[in-house]
Amino acid sequence: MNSEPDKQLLVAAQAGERRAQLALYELCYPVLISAARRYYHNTDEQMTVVNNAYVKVILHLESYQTGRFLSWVKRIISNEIIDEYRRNKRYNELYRFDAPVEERGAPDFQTDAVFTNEQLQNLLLQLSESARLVFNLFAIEGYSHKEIAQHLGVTEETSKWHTKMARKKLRELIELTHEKPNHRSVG
Amino acid sequence: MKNQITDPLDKLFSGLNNIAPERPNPAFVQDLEARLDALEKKRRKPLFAWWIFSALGAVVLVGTYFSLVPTRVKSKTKATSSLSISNASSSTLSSINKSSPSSISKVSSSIDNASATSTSFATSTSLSSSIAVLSTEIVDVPQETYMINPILLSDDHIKDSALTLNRLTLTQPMPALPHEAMPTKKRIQHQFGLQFGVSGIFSSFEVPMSSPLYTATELKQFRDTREIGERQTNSWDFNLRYGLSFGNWQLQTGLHYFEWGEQLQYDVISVSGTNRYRYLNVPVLVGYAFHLGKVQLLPYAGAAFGKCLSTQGTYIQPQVNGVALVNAKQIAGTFIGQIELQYALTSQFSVTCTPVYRRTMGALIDNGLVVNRYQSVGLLTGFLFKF
Repeated sequence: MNSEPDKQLLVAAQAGERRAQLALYELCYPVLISAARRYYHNTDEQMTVVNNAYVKVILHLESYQTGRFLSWVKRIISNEIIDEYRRNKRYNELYRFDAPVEERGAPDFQTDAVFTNEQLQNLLLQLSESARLVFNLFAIEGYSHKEIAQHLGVTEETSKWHTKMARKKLRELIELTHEKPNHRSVG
Repeated sequence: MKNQITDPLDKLFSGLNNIAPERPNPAFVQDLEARLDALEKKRRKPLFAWWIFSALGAVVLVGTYFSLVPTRVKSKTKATSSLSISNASSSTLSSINKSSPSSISKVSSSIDNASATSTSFATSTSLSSSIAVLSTEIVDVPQETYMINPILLSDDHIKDSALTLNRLTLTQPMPALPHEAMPTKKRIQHQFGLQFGVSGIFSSFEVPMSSPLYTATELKQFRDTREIGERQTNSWDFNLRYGLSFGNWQLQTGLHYFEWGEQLQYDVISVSGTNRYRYLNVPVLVGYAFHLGKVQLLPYAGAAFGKCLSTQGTYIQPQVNGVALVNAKQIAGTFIGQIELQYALTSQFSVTCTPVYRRTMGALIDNGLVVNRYQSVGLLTGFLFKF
């Protein structure tokens, strides 16, 4: 999806024209909702984070100058999710890890199963909240462990540990679903 | 986001980054519309406040104008009548003597205007006194000239005074009445003065708690860096002031020059300097005078609106790797509170000493990441000429 908004639409949305704001929302919505779905089960939570992020997009349109608009929007929702996580003080959970994790089968993990986006999202949502957050940031959004550590206020080791935990859990889940033939579908 | 994904599992999930087109959920749109409505209301609020403030300002100006205009007419007519009379009694006497029903009728009409426009002021006593002076000096003016006054002035006292005038002997001047017998009226006094001083500026050094572009951690780091790298500075102040006093009430305006800003020294990037935002302001201050002998204590409160003469400032960037240029507001408002001490050297000349507190209306700098509100406390000294 590469449709970038034209400048007129951005100017009108910034000026407060409701029609332009809704048109821009329609354009940003897939980016916003796909991020929200990776982090939240609940539709209300998804709605809160999507609309919070979009209001920030509107409020800060003047600071957007160059580059890909949808990448900028993606960054806004990422930051919103991190901040939401910190606001709810759930990040204390990140410190709660004990034994070192052995990555079974890594890095030569292979599966011939093909998953739809929805199935992958459902797998992600079965992770613990902290593991899901770190794995999302690392594997999907491309943050380094150093950046994750800075954003979440934890050490790099903690970030790595949660990533390993997430991989371990996901492998187990994939193995489980792989055993069921009807899960082999094309996305 | 420089992470190189190598793990096959990570690669499988990284596909979630590919976005498929999707129509917004109607419930989401409804929620968004409610938020946008709230945002719109919030945007309108400052505009509404400006309207209210402007309307109040207009009321004050119009009220001041209407309270001054009748007074000016009064004082003007008073001045005209006395001037005419004194002129008649001295330098223009000869011209009046030469001929001058028209000059005399001018004097009479001036007197008449005075009595018509200020009923309390132009009483029979003052009028008769004035006319008596005139009558003592203008010897050869025909008697009927004086008869204009009783015709134009309907007040019985004034008629009496005209009759009295007729009865007066031309050589006998009217005895001067004591000043206390004159009717009193509210005295308006004009003031003009200069003040110089210095004030210490305090900045709020604010960084927003959240920003879509930066995470809370980045913002905290930014806030910490600013707290360490920025500190207060001082401003040189200059006031050219004009004031009006209505009894004990004071109204002050003029031109105020003062500055906002801060010193900066960001060690992490070896940048230092001072940001100065210079404003030329028009103040409107209202005060009240307490008299303590030769000293007057005058608390003032009000606001000033100013145009920025230099707007550009430098601040560290949130990534703490460089500086960004930021502009202050072109037009800014300031709340002002001050307590002035005036010491009267003469009845017209006073020296002043004024502790002053100023506070910007809202943020002077606000680019979303650097938000600075300013306050200052200073001391101004100067002089004041009253007339």
